[in-house]
Amino acid sequence: MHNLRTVILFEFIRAIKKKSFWVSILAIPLLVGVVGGISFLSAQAASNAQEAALQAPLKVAILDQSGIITEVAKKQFSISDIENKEEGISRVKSGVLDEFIIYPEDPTKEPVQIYAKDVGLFNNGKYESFAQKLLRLSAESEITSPVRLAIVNDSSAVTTALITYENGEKAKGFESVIAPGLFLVLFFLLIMLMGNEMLASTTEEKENRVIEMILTTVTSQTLLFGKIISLILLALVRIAVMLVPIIIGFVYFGKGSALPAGWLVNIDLSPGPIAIAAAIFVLAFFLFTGLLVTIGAVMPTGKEAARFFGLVMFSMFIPLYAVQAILSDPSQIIVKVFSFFPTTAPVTLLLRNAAGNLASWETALGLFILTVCMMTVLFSAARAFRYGALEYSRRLSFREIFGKS
Amino acid sequence: MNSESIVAVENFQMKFGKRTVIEDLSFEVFSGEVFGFLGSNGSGKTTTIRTLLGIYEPTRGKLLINGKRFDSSESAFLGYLPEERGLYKKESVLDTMVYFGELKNLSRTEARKTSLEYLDRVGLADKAHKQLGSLSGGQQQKIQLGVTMMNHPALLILDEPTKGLDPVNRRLMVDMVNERVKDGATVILVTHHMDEVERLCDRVMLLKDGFRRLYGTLEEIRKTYGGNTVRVRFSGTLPERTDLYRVRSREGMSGAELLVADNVESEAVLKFLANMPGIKLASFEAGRASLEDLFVDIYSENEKTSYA
Repeated sequence: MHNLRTVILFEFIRAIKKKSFWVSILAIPLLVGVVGGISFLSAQAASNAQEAALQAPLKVAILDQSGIITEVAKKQFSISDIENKEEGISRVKSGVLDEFIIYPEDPTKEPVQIYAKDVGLFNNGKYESFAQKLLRLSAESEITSPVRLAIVNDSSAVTTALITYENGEKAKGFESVIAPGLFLVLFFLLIMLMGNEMLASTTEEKENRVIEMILTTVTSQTLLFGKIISLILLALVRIAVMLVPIIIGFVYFGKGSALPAGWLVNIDLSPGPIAIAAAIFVLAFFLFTGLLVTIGAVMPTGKEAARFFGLVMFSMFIPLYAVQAILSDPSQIIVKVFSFFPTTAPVTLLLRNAAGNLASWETALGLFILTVCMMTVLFSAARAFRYGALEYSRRLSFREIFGKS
Repeated sequence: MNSESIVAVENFQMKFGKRTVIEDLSFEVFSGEVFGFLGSNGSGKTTTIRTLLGIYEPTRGKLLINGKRFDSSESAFLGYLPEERGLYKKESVLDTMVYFGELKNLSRTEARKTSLEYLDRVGLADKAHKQLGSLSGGQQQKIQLGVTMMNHPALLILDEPTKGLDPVNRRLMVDMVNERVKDGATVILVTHHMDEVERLCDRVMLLKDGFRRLYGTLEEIRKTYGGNTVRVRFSGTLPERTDLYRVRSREGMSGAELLVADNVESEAVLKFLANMPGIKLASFEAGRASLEDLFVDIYSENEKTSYA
């Protein structure tokens, strides 16, 4: 192994002398530490808030048409009776009651109706649990009929229908999450699937040295937007390829699937949240495409660009570490920061919009920030592309790109 | 060639950050001429061309083609072969040529027809459906030159078009450029081959340190900067410098190239050396400084390839 030592030393020293080596090995653990800390604190805060909410005594009233609920149980949980359904709902709307439960004559045949104060998509389940628990406890005390036996022995015998209210208005349920939430899934899939193509769309041309000839036939902006639009078209093809088999499967085999009948019909298609999700999605897609194209244009090779690609991906999906806080406690500082910081805003805003906890002013501010950032990034991308695409062997500094007249 | 200016550059300056690449450059290229754009590596030729073609914005000055700033919508007018060679290596030869043809406003059918004709001409017809990356470097270069000229542009800018080609293909390329010139095209030729310059160019410009150092017809340049030379073989001791000449270069112990002083005839040098004691002339050949000599001298800071 003649000269092995020399080769090892040369390779080791030249790698270790690079700033990028140290940045890459220090940045990731640092970011993981920061995000880990954030997610831990967020989870703890959210968990404490939830626990407190769950342990707080509920103000509950019932309308028992089944005659199963015992006086002992009512006393144990400080439950009052209300004979009029409308009155019970009205008290929930006004906030006097936390929960109003209507047990039908036969709870195994009709769903138990629950009207309650909205405490968030992921905490509303406590109302259904409580209604089930109360019914089962009462039925257990005196099993005198097959209905009571079924309630005690079969946990799926009783179904519930929950309607919650927020500020006197009917709150949106899980059905309302699906349509706007799809944009988050779509965004995630597109970036994960297309990210490398976005990056390669400029680095490949640079590595092929083909860009200069093209720039005499089209402007850098035209070329850039041509690339972005073609990437979007490619993305649509990918989506179609993914969705078509699912749709075909659902149409032909849907009856035998685990999905409840009428599931699609129940999806809330309110235009507001869908429009907001679509706007965030489009702005975010352009923002990240621009960002990745800029990286591709500035870096001399695909290999070097790939290092920064990882960081961009990481910064984009950091909010997923704090998803619990984002969904259940949007008032936390970290959620606010994530909502308005350019790289974390898309995922955070899409999550919050789907969960229905995004205020109007936050929507407006978030969209404004994304628009400004998207325009800035696209402008920078066009400029970086114009100058950086012709630098075949070295990385351009931002000063060089933006210092040119 | 006529005196109608097709390219006009006035007081062009280009800075990249704090680095000034072009200080102050002005020149014109006339319609129908072959204009040699010379300069060593890194002298700013490519930057000038990129700025002329609107790829870069100048820091100062005007760079006009047909009296206005070039923009890509006029791509049909232009054929540009950049210094950096490259095409889409994973695409087929024909698809790539057709794509560029369409970018230069040819219809798809026209682009396809022209491409196939060109491939046939340069002996690459059988490669039409091959991946570009599978072709040799010289073959790829032929394709790139074909892409440059396929729309029969009125202005051709060729940055070292024969770089890396073997003598046969080099001649083929030069012939094709000549055909375009005969059809009335204007050519800006960047090259380091002075024989190509002497054979093809009507006028030349030499760039150094961001300034124009030579500019004019070959004859004008030789007359102004070149001076007469004399190549001698001798025995004895040849004086390094006299009122009539100075030694430009030595060729061993018994040969030298002399630069003749301004307003001095070569015959006077012959007479002087023939009558000089201690030196015996074996041969004497009068000539003029070659373009390559001029180029080397200017880049070696000698300023003028002449006696001064």
